[in-house]
Amino acid sequence: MRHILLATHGTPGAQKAEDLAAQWAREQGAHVTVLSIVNEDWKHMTGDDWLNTSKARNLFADYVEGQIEGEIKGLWERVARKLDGLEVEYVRRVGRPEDVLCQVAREQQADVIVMGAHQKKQAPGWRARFENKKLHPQLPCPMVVAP
Amino acid sequence: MAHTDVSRPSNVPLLVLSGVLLLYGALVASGVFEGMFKALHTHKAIDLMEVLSFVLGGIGLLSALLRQGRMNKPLTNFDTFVLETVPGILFIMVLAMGIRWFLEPVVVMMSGALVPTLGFKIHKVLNLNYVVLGILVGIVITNSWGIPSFAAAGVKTARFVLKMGVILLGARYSFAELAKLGMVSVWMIGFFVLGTVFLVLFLGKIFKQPKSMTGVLSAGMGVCGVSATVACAPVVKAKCSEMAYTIGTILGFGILCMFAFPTIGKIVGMNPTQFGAWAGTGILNSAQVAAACLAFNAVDIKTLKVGEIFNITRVLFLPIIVLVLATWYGRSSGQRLTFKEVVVDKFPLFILGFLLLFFMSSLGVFSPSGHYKGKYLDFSYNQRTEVTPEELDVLAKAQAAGIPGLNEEERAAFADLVKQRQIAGNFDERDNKTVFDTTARHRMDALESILARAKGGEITISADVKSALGHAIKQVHKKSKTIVTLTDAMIWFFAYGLIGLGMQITKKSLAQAGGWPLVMGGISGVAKATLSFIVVMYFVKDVVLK
Repeated sequence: MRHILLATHGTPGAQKAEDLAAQWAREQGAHVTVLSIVNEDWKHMTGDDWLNTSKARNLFADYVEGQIEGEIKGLWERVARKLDGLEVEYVRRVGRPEDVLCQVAREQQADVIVMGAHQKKQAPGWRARFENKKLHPQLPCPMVVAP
Repeated sequence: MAHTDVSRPSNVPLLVLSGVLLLYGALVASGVFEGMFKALHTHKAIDLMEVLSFVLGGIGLLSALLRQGRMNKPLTNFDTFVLETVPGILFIMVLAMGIRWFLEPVVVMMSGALVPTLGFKIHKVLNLNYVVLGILVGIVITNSWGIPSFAAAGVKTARFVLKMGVILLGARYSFAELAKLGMVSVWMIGFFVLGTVFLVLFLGKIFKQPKSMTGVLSAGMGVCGVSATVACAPVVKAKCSEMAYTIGTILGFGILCMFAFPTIGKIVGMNPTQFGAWAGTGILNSAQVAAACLAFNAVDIKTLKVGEIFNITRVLFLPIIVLVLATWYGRSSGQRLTFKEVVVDKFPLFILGFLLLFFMSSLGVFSPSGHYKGKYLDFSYNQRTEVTPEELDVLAKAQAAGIPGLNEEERAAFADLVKQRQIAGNFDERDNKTVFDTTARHRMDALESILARAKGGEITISADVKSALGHAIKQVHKKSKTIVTLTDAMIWFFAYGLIGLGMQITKKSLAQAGGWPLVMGGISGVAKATLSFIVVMYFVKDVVLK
């Protein structure tokens, strides 16, 4: 195993995946790519707003982008400490999570994808989970769900 | 300014849409659908169907030709803002026409067929008219197949078109109406907006929630739903999850209100002023206020006129709330906002357009001297000249029971009113305006005679029948031809805008509802709707609207 693709957004389930990826990378001397996916559905979050000026809407979009950027930066700083000493690359993409994960795995020629398990109680944050029906048919490599 | 992007969606969908419209227009003109239209009771719109089909189909075909010639060229502003929007505009227009002339009548017929099983008309309980159906169709499309890529650019015009609808609505107010409604709305919105904002801030303190979350939720719940959330989130530095939960909660609450409000309003017998005031105060999202008002009464636009004044008042309160929240939040963060950031950048320019149309109308620009009130009679086939469905029920029952003492001409005029739902000439004579209008005028005279004889005690009719006859006569008295045309355009703009906005409501955004925003939003939203209901029922009187 030379290349691990770690998909994380920092929730308790994803943090278990981070630990597992760190452990395997150290054991195997593998390269790790940390993938943060910005859900494309954020673009629909202005809902049926029609009263605002385009300037106010653009300001909101910029603000959301800045917030997401800040959250990802904080996440990467934390993950960097966990993966200290390993060869790590960070990737941020916008899109539908299932599609983006498989696309990046293909591009990076990952040997395995590591991700967190569904938790009984969803962690605070954007409410969306990987849909196996959409994910499994397009997986380019094995995927491990960290228990 | 051109840029290097040459990607454009395929021309095929636009050609297909244009072809379908032109073919439909030709078939309507040939008369092959007349039997079906009569069964659906949409035959009165045949002329409009023809015009819209040929005009839209022609525009589509011309755009397709222009697009074809520019397929591999860089996009210019003309491409981005005009040419590339045409497929989406046609897409929404085809949906709007289909909903108004096919889906709505079919839903009404199916609802009638279900009465023996259900015991009531489901379309009346859920207020399934073309406006509500339009939003639902938009929501279904975006959450099932998604907005087709060829239509994506055009769907974005919905916001602009809805603003155009509000601007045109400005022509329908008089000084007296605006003054009275404005006064009621300023008091009610002032009280409930500030009340809800402070209630949410108070709840946030009780539940020990962060200021950023309480701030963004208070704006959304207090002022104008998602629009206020969008405007205030950067001011209170809301986190991603807080914005998502708030928007999800507001969207979900708004959709529930859109169905519940008109039904409750009808059950308790609200008048247009009361319902417009209640919807304009209690419903969070402004698009859903317009939808609820048109769901309550789509025949004339009295309710919409009231609701939109409340909407506009709320928007004007938005900068005040931004300022309040900026001060409240800025005290701890040291943040300061400029006048430009709070007022200028957030001021909705369409309100200036609304005021412009209002002043032009008030100064008589749209009403030539020959068109003073009551002078211009409009017998044309249109929903705005019809009686309401409730009035139609009253008239049909009275006709079935028989009204003793009516002469032949009066009886025939009454029967025709029930048949055509409005005062009009004969359908087959609609192409000869003089004959059509003369017949209609005789029928109107006969109906006025019924009212006069009832007043003189010669015949006896119920108060409901009197009211329905009076409304039927009032419906054909119009102020000016220009205003009638503007109103027709406005109704289509609203229908178009609301279908397009329905397409912006995704199940993923609704699924974000949760966390403390759901709890606090639920408490404050229900409190606002309930208290405003009580205030409206006890303190808001009917305002005479034209």
